[in-house]
Amino acid sequence: MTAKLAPETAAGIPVEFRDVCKRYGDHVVLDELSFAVSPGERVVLIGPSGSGKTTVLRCMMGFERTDSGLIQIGDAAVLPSGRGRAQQRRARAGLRAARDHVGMVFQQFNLFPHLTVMQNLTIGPRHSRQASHAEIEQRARSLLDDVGLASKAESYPGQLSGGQQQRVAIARALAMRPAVMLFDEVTSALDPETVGEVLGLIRRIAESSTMTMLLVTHEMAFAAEVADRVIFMEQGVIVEQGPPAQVFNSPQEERTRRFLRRLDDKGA
Amino acid sequence: MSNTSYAWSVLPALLRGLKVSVEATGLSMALALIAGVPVCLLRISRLRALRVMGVAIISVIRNTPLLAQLYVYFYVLPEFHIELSPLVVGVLGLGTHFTAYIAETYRAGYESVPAGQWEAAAALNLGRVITLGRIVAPQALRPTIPVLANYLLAMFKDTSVLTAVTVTELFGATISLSNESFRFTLLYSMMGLLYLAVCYPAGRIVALLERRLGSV
Repeated sequence: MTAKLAPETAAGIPVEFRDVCKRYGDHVVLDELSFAVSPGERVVLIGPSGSGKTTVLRCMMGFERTDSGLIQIGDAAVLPSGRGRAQQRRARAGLRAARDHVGMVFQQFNLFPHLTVMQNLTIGPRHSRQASHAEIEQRARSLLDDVGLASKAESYPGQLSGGQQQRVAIARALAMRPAVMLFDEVTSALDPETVGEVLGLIRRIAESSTMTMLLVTHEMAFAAEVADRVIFMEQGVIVEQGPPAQVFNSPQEERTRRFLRRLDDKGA
Repeated sequence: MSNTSYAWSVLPALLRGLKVSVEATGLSMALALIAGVPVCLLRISRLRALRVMGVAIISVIRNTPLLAQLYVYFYVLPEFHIELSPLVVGVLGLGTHFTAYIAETYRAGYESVPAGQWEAAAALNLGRVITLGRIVAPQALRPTIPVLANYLLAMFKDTSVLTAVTVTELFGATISLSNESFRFTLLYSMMGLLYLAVCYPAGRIVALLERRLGSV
């Protein structure tokens, strides 16, 4: 694989969570969560299942609506949907603006099965009218080339392996030139032998771009390598955060130590 | 006249009836496929008032007999000075009746599309109309095709009800011929064979579609 990623990507922008709450009935998923991510920073969220780390990403996209607090993504503010009509309109506009800045890669790939790989990559940029069809097409080709799937442009997702599908999904997100990339457990649904190719690609993207990146992953070795900062969450709050060397090698909190010990026991 | 020569003599009349049955099916299906779209959109609307309207339309149609619905078009509409030909009444009746079922089939297809597809579309900032038209609808329709084909078949058999509003389709043709000649066994056997000749192969095609496309 080539070291650099050819098509230029957007420069990273800051992200900030300010007192964000999210509840399902009595269950608190995010409990007045606050943290700030600087432009171009790579933050890895770790924690046991149900800790709220995936919800953090899903709230940024508006897939889950927050109950209170503010998520600021560059100039876009993601707000609770609110009651009044004006408030709802403002929340919708904020969400649209946020999605303009943010790209997301999913655990289950979520490629469009009825469209070719090429169409998967071009449908977003075409409808956002950010460039001419020819430019969009050309950029999509060079992205496919970059993720090593140039020969699959006319294939359908169902004809690809899991690892290949996830690489297409990453290319599809990049085609929108996001300033922030979200990776939600993107290797969890993959066969063990294809995990490496996807992690390798993300590593290359991290090296050759200045995008802000938030990653939820269970791959601790990968996290240690790619992260500027690791955030350990449990029950909707941040228990501990810091550079990977600190969080992984000398965690300050007992809860962090317990979590990491359990991972070691499982041989992860 | 021998049975054989009588059979040959009435075959053209029966085939004309079959042709009317096929035409009524085609027109009614076209109506139902088209009208099913707005009814389904009402049913899945985010606005409660529209959703209630969709549910109401579907409930009324599904919970009253087809024959009664045909009579409404045939006898009630003229009281409001809307006079329609028997075939139009038949197509309108059958078409609107199946609209309810087809709208629900569209909805089942719509709901079979995983939430992840909506989320992926949202992540690409595709609008609701484009998401529906380019992402959701194509995936929603595929598993409905065998179900729709099944309804087409059911509709073809149900055209026999149009006899009640004086459309001379295959069943109606059989009735009037047998009222003249009293050769019930022969005529009804011929009618049965003609229905079978259309429905059996069509049913095999539906089964094939189900295997190839899955079903909601």
